[in-house]
Amino acid sequence: MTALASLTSFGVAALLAAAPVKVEVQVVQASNDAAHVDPGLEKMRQGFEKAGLRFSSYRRLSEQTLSLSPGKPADVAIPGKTATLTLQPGDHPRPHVAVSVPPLQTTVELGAGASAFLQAGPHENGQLVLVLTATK
Amino acid sequence: MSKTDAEAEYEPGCVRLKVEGPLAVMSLNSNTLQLLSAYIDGELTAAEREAVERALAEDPRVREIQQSMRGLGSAMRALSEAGVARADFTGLADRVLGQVSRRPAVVDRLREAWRRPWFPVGGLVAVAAAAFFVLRPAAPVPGGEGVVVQSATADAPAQLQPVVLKTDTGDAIIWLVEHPDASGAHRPTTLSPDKPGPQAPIPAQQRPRAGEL
Repeated sequence: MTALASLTSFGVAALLAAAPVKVEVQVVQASNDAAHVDPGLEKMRQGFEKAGLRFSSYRRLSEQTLSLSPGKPADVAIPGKTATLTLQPGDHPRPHVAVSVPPLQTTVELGAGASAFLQAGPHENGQLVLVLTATK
Repeated sequence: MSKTDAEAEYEPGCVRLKVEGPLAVMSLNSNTLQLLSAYIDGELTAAEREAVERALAEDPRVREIQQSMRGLGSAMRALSEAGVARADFTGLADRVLGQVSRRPAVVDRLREAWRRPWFPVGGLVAVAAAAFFVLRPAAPVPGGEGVVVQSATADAPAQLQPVVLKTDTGDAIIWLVEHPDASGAHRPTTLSPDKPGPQAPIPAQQRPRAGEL
């Protein structure tokens, strides 16, 4: 009885741990072209400015919501390259996402509502930024 | 005051219990009725009984009450005896024991419930859910909201390394920096050939350190 209950509880925990996580992925070009900030990017602009990264233009090139399953890589097309996102397996209270966007390799723990801005390389007259946000 | 301490005497309309000091006058009230009731039941002391009997002899109202009380008692006894006479206790023990034996013990009822198909599954799910909520990792500590960068590396020339810039809203910026030093005196930069415009020096409290990744 106890063993069966334990097995079932571990099974439920495993199922919950294996539940997919939705992550909103945006590709933004930050440049010093004519001043422009796309809707929804003003918070990003302010955060960058406070961090000493000053750009006059923030344009959203793409936006999608990925459903990440543990251990299964998901690709995101970026101008000139591909970013790969992988939800790390494990019973984490918050999703751990490994991101490969050459030359950068990083693993971020996403809190609900907060964003990770990853420099994704130069593009035209600016810089590409990969924006990851865990959705509730 | 105990009845043995009292010396009872009768006056028309009431029964007095004479005690040391002032007299305790008991009129024809509830106390007198109690005395009469105790008299009928044979529970009075000799002095009290004598006083009540004198009252009965001298006061028709007291006699009338006493007769009513006796009549009421007789009627109650008659009713009780009649009810008992009509009651059929034949086989009562068997009927009671039959009811008891039809109620299975708790263990037997649990064993019976376990045989039902839904009980083991529902019970296990409940146990599993409880175990999950008890055993799951503790919730993140307060202030742990936002993004936490677990690791960051760059397959780039040695002088270009990633740094983490945290914003006051909990966001994290991972940027590649040229020649970061431990003092934090570097400035975020960009990959050539595109560079953002003039950059203000980062305030000391916001300066990332290369070693904090």
